Amino acid sequence: MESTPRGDPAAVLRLEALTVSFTGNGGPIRAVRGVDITLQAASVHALVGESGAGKSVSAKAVLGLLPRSATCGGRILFHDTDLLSLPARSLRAIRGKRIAMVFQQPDKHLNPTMRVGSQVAEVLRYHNGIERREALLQARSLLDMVELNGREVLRSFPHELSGGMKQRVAIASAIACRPEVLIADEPTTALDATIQSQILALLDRVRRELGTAILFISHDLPLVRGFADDVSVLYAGRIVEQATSRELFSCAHHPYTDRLIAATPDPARRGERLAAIRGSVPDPQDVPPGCAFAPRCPMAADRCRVEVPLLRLSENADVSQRRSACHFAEQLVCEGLHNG
Amino acid sequence: MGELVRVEGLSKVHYAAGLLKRRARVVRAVDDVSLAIRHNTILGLVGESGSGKSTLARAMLYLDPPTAGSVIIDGLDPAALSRSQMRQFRHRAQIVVQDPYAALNPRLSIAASVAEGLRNRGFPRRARERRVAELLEMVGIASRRARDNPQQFSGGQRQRVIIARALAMDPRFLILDEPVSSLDVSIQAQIINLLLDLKQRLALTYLFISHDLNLVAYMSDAIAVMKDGRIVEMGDAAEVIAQPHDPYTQMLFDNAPRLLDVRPGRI
Repeated sequence: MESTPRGDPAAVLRLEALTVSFTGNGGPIRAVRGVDITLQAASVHALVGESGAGKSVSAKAVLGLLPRSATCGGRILFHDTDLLSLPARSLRAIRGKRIAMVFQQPDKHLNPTMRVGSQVAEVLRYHNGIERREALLQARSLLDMVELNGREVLRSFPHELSGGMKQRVAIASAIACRPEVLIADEPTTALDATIQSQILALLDRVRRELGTAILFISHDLPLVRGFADDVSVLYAGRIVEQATSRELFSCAHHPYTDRLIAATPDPARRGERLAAIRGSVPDPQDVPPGCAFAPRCPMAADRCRVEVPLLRLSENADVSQRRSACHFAEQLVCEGLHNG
Repeated sequence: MGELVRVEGLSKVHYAAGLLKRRARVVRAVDDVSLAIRHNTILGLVGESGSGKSTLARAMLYLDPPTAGSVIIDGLDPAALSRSQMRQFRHRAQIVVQDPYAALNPRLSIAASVAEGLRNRGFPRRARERRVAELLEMVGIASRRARDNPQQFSGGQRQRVIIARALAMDPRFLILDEPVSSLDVSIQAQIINLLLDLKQRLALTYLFISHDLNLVAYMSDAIAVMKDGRIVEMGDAAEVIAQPHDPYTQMLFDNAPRLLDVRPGRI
């Protein structure tokens, strides 16, 4: 499905019918089963879903960081270049420079034996060929930009920094080459609530000041609601709903999104029972035929168990571009419970 | 109903002796904490990592006895108990921790894990088996799976088994230390609903520890906010959410992303 007209100037990254499978013992594990996403410059697109939905695998496919056992299909267009058909060398010139990433645990991606300054500078030296002294100067101003004391932090080792500071360092090296796309995989999950909002504010500044498009991977709906412009909800390797954040959280057009929102605890729900979703996420080696959510869905009918619902515009859609992969999307009545 | 739990002036001090330093550094992990929990209610305890929440929990149960202060749970003061009375105390107050993957012995069937405490309490075999089946059913695990090992269960199911194991001791008070933070949202909701049901059904009292403000605000009757080993704010949940007095609590709640816009007490 073509999500945007070709040559849309604002579209920086487009995933088209992306599939990823791994070779497993009991046959192929199809982790991503046809995902279409368009990422616009200076906007935040969130990928949400529970574990095993294919969020991180999709992100790793964009970065070319999947293990050898993975096979990808479809296209990942960065402007007009298909990253999937790019030789490793050309991909290395893009990765970390024009498409950068920030991960959940910054410590895992920082070298414990290297001073922070050298690590940030290394990015600039590798990608821009800047000599050491100049790179360190630039690293210092990058650290200042992520609201750290550049002069001090430059000479620190990662273990001397707190979790929030390390994530700032990770962001500093990610934005060193002013990337057009930043992939942030649960960047605040390991952080405390107050630090979490600071890091999000920083990412938002990066988006505004550098015009970076952010692919934001998260399982945290309240967080996504406040931070993302657009949201794709993933379930068992497919997008079940795609809409602007405002639309999605005001009224879900897919039973899974609806149930997920209803299962999320909130102070406004005190005294109510949470709507738990029965059962659990399907085993990726044994995804049910038809709609993967059907066995857990309160609305499922016979048709759902045989026919895979396509991601489509709602028939009673107004001007909005929201899409739902439910045969019965039109029948979902919004109770105005989550008015946004 | 009266109080089930009362903690007065509880402190836990560590001495972090430096390798080359003469004088040990004093770390007040929990600093002069007092709190009370009414019978059959939930006190939610929030605070950032390192604020002392889990240390407080362990000190309250005398798993790591406090360095000062007193604890009374269900009329028992663990500081003044004989060995056999201490066993009583351990039965009445149980703890459920975060990681459902680490808390069960991988080499025991889940039935054996749940039965362990019953055996220690001297239940004969027959009665034990009956009780295990009852407990598993109570937490929503089919009894035909009783002989399976933990590896054959998902995270949510393991957490159910761990809850069943705690319930085997017929506790009156449960400390739930981040019991759902490693679970997916839809599974988390199942476990939360289960905990709320069990609280009603068995007249339990909870200390519910979490870093998730929305979750704590959703399920607690009262909320205590911890920072640097101290409780900086405590009160009725609706009041703490609507009108926090302490500036740190205010910042914490203002920064919490919300799913719904309605804030109780603010409309």
